[in-house]
Formats: sequence, C-alpha cells, structure tokens
Amino acid sequence: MMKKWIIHILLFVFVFSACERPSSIVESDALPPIYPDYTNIVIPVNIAPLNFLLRDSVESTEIVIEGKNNSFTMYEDEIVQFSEKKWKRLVTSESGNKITIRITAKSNGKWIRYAPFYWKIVPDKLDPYLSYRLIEPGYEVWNKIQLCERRIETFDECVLADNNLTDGSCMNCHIYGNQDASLSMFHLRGKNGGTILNRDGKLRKINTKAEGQISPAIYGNFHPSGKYAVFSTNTIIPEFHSLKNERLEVYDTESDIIIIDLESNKVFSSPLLSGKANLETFPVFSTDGAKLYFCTAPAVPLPDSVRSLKYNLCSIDFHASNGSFGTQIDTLFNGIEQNKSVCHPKTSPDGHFLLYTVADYGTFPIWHQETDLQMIDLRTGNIDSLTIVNSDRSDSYHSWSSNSRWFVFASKRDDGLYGKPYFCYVDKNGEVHKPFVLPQRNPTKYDNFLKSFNIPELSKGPVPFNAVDIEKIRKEQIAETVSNR
Amino acid sequence: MVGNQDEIRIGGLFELALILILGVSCLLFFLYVIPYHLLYEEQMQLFLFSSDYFLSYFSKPGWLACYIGDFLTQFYYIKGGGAIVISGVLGVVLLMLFLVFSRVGKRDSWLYIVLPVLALWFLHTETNYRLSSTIAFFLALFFFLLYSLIQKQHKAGITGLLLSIFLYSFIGSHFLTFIFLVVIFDLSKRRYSSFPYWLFLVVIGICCPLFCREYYLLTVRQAFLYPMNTLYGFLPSLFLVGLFMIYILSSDNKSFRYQQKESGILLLFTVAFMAGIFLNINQTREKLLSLDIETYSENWEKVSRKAESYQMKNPVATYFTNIAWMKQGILPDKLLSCYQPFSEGMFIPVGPHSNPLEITFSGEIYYQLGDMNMAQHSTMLAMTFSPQSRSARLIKRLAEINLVIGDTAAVNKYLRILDKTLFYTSYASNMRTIMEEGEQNPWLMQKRSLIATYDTLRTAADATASLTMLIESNPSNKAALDYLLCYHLLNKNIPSFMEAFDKWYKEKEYPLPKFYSEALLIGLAQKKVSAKTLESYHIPNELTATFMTYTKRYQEAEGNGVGLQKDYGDTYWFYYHYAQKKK
Repeated sequence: MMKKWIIHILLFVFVFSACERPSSIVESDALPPIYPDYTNIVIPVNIAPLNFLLRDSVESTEIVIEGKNNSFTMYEDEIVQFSEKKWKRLVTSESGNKITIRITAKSNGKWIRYAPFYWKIVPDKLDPYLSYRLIEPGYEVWNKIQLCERRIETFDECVLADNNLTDGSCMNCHIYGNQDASLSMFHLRGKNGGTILNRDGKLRKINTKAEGQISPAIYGNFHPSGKYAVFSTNTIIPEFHSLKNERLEVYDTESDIIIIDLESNKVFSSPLLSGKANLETFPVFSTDGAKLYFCTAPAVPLPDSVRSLKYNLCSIDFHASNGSFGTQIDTLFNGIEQNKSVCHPKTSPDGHFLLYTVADYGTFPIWHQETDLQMIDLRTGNIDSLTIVNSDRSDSYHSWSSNSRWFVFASKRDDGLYGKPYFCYVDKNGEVHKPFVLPQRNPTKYDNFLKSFNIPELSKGPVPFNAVDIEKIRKEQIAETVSNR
Repeated sequence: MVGNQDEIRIGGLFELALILILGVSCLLFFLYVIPYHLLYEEQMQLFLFSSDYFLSYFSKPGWLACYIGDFLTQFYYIKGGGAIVISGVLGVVLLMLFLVFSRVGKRDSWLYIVLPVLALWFLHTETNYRLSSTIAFFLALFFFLLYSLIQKQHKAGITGLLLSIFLYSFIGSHFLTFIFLVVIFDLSKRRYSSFPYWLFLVVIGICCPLFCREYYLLTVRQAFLYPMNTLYGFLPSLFLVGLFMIYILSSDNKSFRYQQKESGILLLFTVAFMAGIFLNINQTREKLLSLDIETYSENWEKVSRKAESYQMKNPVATYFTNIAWMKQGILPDKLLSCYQPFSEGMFIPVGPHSNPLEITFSGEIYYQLGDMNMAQHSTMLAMTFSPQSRSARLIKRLAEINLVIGDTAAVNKYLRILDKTLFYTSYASNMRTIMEEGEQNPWLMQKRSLIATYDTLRTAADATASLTMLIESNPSNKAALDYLLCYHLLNKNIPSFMEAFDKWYKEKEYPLPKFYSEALLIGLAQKKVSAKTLESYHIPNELTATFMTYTKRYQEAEGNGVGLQKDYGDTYWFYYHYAQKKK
C-alpha cells in the first residue's frame, strides 16, 4: 500500500514538475527565443514535426497551437517535441491555413508570454527525400564521410555510402537526374574509385577521365533524357586565408566542360567550353535539355589575382539528338560588370527560374560569408536578390523540388562553420518566403552536431542502393572507361 | 571468509597480499608512470549529458559498454582520477572473475584470476585502447554469471541464445567472450545435451556481426572487434578461456590444484607480466604526451625542464621545446642547445601519412604565434581524426580561437556543447565572461594583438608565409620574428635570414643573441660588406675576431669538422658547415 502511494506521489511530482502551468505572466512583444528559428514561416503539408527548443534558461513552456480546424495546448520543458501522429493530423487538417503559435515560457522563475508567430501550411509538397553529404568542416582533409538520405516527412535517415566501408576514400556530392531517385550519381575517389552511376538500382562504376582531360569529372548534372551527363574537369588548388572571414579559398588553375554519353561512354566538348583562356565550371542543363548553363571567367594569374576572378553566368545551345553545341555563348549575368562571381546555377523543373549563388569572387563560395543566392526569372530576365532568403553567412549550394515550389539550400547562418539544409517556398507568383531548417527529432541535434550537411539534393523517392552496395561495387567491379568521341 | 562447499575460501595471506600489492601497484602505475597518457585520453573524448548524445551510441555495437566506459573516462580529468578509475574498474573485474570462477567450481585455485586482469592492465597502457572495452569484458562476465545461475539446462540454453543476440548490441565484440564462457561452462558441468545450443551460439557468434555490420556500417574486421581496434583486446578473454580449459582438462586427474609450488609459479608469472607491462610502455609517446599536455597548459618552464631532462632526438619533442623557448623569449639564445633536425622541429607538417597525435600537436604553434586560421585548420583536422571525432580539448581550443578572431556565433556553438559536460561548464562560463569583457580582458587583448590584420593566401605547408604575415600584421610580434629568423637559421637559409633581420630586427632595440650575431657574420662575409656596414650590426668585436679564427681553421681543416667541434661545436658556424639532414 505504502509502495503504491510512493509511486503515485512520484508520478505526480514528475508530471507536474515537467508540465508546470503559467501564472503571474509578464507580456512581451518579442518573439520567443526558439531554436531553430521557426517563426513566421511557410511550411509544406508533408514536413516532419517542427520540433524546437527555447534558449535563455527556459524551464517550462506552454505552447498553444491555434488553427481553423485543429487547436491544442502542450506543456513541455525547454525542448518542444510534437508527436508525429498529432503533427500529421495538424498539418493535414490545416493545409492551406495559417496557424498561430503562442508560447509562454518560464525563465529564471518568471513566466513570459511572447509575441505569437505563425506557420502557414501550404498544400504544395516538398519532394519527400533529401540527400546530403555529412562531413567535418575540415577544409581540406577528410576522415569520416557519409552520404545520407533523409525522409523529410519523418525523421528517418539512411546511409547511402560510408567511407568507413570504402577504405576512407573521399566521396563527392550525390546528385539526381530530374529529382528522380532511379537516376543518380556520385564520385568515389581514390583506389578502386570511379563515378558511381545508379540507374534503376543497377550500379555502374565509371572512370570519367578520358585522354587529354584535365581531371576526372568533378561538378556535374544529368541531361533530362538521362542519356548524357555534363561535368566540369578542374585542377583545384586549396589555400588558406589569413583573415577570419574566409577560412579557405579553393580555385581552379584550369577547367573545362565535358559531356559524357552514358550509353556509349564517349566524351565530347566544344572549343567554346574548353581551352586555356577561360575557366569554365558548374555546368547544368536547362529543364528541356536544349541549353547548357555554366559559369565562366577569364583566366587570371593565381593566386595573386584571385579577387579579380569573377565568373559570369552563361549558356550555350545543346542538341541532344546528335550531341552538338550551338555556336554562340549568351551571358545571363556578367560577373565583371556586377563585380560578383556566379556559382551553382540550377534551373527550376518548370523552366521558369534559374537559381544561383553569388560571391565577391572565385569559385568556392562555401567559406565566403558574403555568399548569397539569387534567382533569375527566365521568362522576363528579372533578377531577384532573395533578400528574405539570404543571411550574413554563406548561403550556397541548392536544389529544386520537382514541383518547382520549393528549393533547399545549404546555409552556415547559425554559426558560420557548419552548413545545414534550409527549405524555401516559392509561391505561384514567384515570390520567395522565409526559409526554415530541416527539422530534427531532437532539436538539440544541431547544437551538438559537428558535421556539415553538404550538397543537399531533393528527390521524389528513395534511392535503390545502400552503403554495403557501394562497398561491394568498389571492391568487386572494375571501372568502365570513357574515351573521346 | 569461509563458505560452504560451492564457495571459494579467501583468506590465505599470500593471496590477499598479492591482490593488495597488485592493486596498489596498478594505482601507482597509472598515477605516476603514465599519467599524461590518461589525461590525453580524456582530452580526446567528449562526454555529454544529452539525450541525442546518448542515442548516438546506438549507431555502433556495444552501446552500453561504450556509454559506461566513456562516462567513466571523463573522470580522468581529475588529477589521479584516471588511476583511480582504472584501478577501481580492474578491481571490480577481479571480483567478477572471482565470482565467475566460483561458478565454474574452482575453489582452490582462484588466484589465477589475476591473469586476465593483468592482461587488461597491459592493454590500458595503449592510448587507443578504450575503457569501454574493459567494461565490455566486465559485462560479458556479468551476463555469464547470470547465465550460470540458471540451473535447468534447457532454460539456460534458451537464455544463453537470447542473451547472446542482445549482447552484441550491448557490449560489442566481447559477446564472443560470453559465448565461449557459456560453452566452456556447460562442458565443465558436463551438459553435453546442450550441444545443439552450442552450435546455435557459435552460429550467432559468427553471423551476428556479419548481419549487423550493415546497420552499424562497419567492415567485417571492425564488426568482430568493436569497440576494440585490435585482436589484442581479446587477450583477457584468451587468458580466461585458457584457464577454464585447463580446469576442464585437469578436473579428472585433479592436477589443477592450487599448491605451494604453483603459488610460486604464479608469483613469478605475475612479476614477469608486470615487468612486461613496464617494458611495453611507449616511453617516447609518454614523454611527448607530457610535453604536449604541459604545452597545452602553457607551463612553459615545465616544458623546457622536461625537454632538457628527456634529451630526446625527436622532431616532435624539439617542436614543443621550441614553442616553450619562444614563449619564454629565449629561443634564439637556446636554439642549438637541443636536437634540431633542421626546421622539422619548428612546425609539424600534416599530410596523408600523419598520425592522429601529430595532427593534434600541429596546431599549437599557430595558436601561440597568432595565426588563428591555420590554428583552426589544424584543430578541425585533429577533431576529425580524434577517436570518436569529438574531443573536449579541441572543442575548447576551437572556442578560444573563435573568441580571439571575434566569431561569437561559433564560440557560442562550442560553449553550448561544453555546457553539457560534467567538468567543462565552468570553463564555458569563464569564456562567456571573457566574451562580455571583450578587449578589457587582458588575455583576449594579448591574443588579439597577435592576429592577422590583412588577408593573404598560402598553402598549409607554407610556414614562412604564415610567419611573414604575422610580422607584417604586427611588427612588435617578436615571438613570430624570432621564430622566422630561427626557421631560416635552421634551414641554413642565410640570405632569407639577412633579409628578415634587416627588415624587422635591425632597427629595433632588441638585444642581439649570439646565434644571430654568428649567422650575421656568415651573411656579411658572404656579401663582403664594408667595415662600416659591419659596424651597423653592433656585433661584439670579440665575436668577429673569433669568427675570423674559426674561418681560418675551417679552411685549414678542409671540410673535416672533428678538430673544430671542441672549440666551436656550440656555434652557429659549426652547425652551418657540418649539420646534415638525415636521409
């Protein structure tokens, strides 16, 4: 009997110490000190629960969620985690609506009611899978690298490749063709390496260095047909800055663009995309595959003139039927005139927009704090500087969702060192909204995590291979070779 | 203590004395013989009180053993904590072995259980052997003990199978120890009808790591070893299994009994094993760790003293010595009084073949000089290559570097991590105080006075670019200037030495160290300068005269330095002419 009472008392103390109710509340005009910053954002109907924590030594929290069809109150400590079922019900029932979140928190013995904020839930879905590379921001050398795929509707994450299983070899970004997981690739460097090409789960390993080429394939993109892939080939030099703002500079002393016919393993290029006079890099196909966008800069003496290395955003016609190029290069963004340098162009799947990165100079914007995203409306040529999207730290690599309503990008806005994936909504009028970071089951994860989320890419489905498949292909398969056309 | 027939009798003076001596020896050994080694282990891990940190242990086998092991390792932070923790854990393992032995039925020869414990002691002398592995061994014994208490054969068989499946997740590869013990125990109890269970156990022992490695993302070798790195980790299991096997084989003819003769053998074996442990210590590594940790603590005089007493011919030892001398302002005076392998003892180059220790050490010089971007690069690399890619010491260093360069967002990131530790919360709060004080804080003001004021690009290996940038940023950074001048001297690069001297040293009212004067005389002689120019360097006349004598004798010696060594062995001239790089 005594034991039963003790259990009841303990339960009562436990429940009510964790879920204290507010009293003697002080009103505040400030937004609550929540991390990640999920205040006043647009979210897709299929996002995982936006769990967050409260800074400023918060002990207890009351969270009131008010929607048109679904409202509830939660009592938590400083960490607010929604049950996945409850969250699913909330976002489904409030799809298209704006919900209000009111937070009252107890900090240093005082209850404070903060200004409310909203979540606008839009029915436009985000592609449900996100791949990224997890790597320590060690600038130059790697030890543990994983390519991961996260389901953004839940918190499930699986590892696509782990360099512990590949003798510690370096792995580059994993990219999809047409946001479709049945067509993807990444480069596995080092001994027994090659470009791993996944087509419907069948894996191929290709040595992408043809004779006379500067290097194996580096930055790449699939043609919408899946027949071709375009790559840059670069001689990459890493060097260190002495001032804090830009820790590492990576530049190319030479670079060209090549196309690989993935059916015949033939490589070809154009004199307009290669040669010593200009540096060409970051090639991508347009949505219809009829154009090739890329960045190019006149070669300058390096490293001395690195600050005058400004990449233009250009395009050239491409004829997929016979694998030939146009005879003229068009400039969409003149880096020298604008005193900026362009990287990472990506066209939206509906062909309306082209998103890219701009930095003050160079071709490695990851450590440039001034790096921002910009977007050209390809129908009008207007440039949107995406003020609401950008931060005072590096906002760089990005990828579109298949419905063109969302894009994901890597940003170091939290601490300047560790990149995280942020999602941004582009409404039907082409207006962008405040981005939000990929939610985690435990919101303290980002605080404790010592790796960067590198090269985030969205896809419509899960990739059909895993880390052990990559271990096997590395060990067992001899790389196919490519040759010049 | 006297027990019934199934219990063991303790009380023999010899046994108790041996255990006591071993325990005290173990404590003293870790307290005085390899204390830096344990401190380093603690510094290279980071234990957080956080649920997501706890959950991260489930990504590898042996989560329970690893969590307990890492929890206990954080106490190495306290002076003597490492020795107490390891001795205590080994004591508990000894007790567990005693209980296990009693279950097997050895009533007379229980003292043999010191052998697996000695093996554990031996393993703990390695820096890459984790306490988690010892905990895993202990847990294997503990679960075996539970198993051995089950009387009914089939119930025991099924329990053994179920336990072994879960144990891989709980304790990692030491679940194989459990499996071996179960089979041997059943054999000793003549439970021959358990044969099918043994077969299943062996199958589980082989298949479990093979199947689970896909989830844990481990290679086949790692899957059978984790949390250990080498097969040596199974040494205590090998001893234990060996003892049990001997017991089984000897139980019929009663020869495996604890007798006086055997006690002598056991004593001899123990002494030999302990001698082996002492001999096995990597003295070079221990000395380097002592220099590293004292350098990290900025105990410059202690570093100099230790280095001088060690007299090591090791570039890393020279590196720490040079840093300490630089910080004390005596580098140019003492430069050639220790082993100097050209400029290899000035910076530690980091490359694909560098070991984690070298990578960890490499950032110290940049931090002390004020090149914070290079210090940050080295620290990030060291973190990447630390055993679990998270280290309390390196997180602290990253916080300090970012505080010095004024990146408060990054500082807060690292301090939030340290807030979740047991021993570094006060450090985090001190750092926050410094952050609030800003340049009013003397430490921060001093550190910021050294950092770069302009931007330049350089490769990681370009030490002179780093030093030049620091001097040009802050011409009063004499430590960087001395380091650059000494760097040129050690490389026998007299033109660069002269250029740097003329540019930054000559016009300052710095005293002229002997080695600089000697090097200047070489440079000025090579340039064949006028007497007036020579005078402008304020080199003592006696030294110039000695140089003339040396030059004459050097020419007469025709390249043979033996005759010159006695009189000029401590001069830069002798180093310049006769020091050679080892091939």
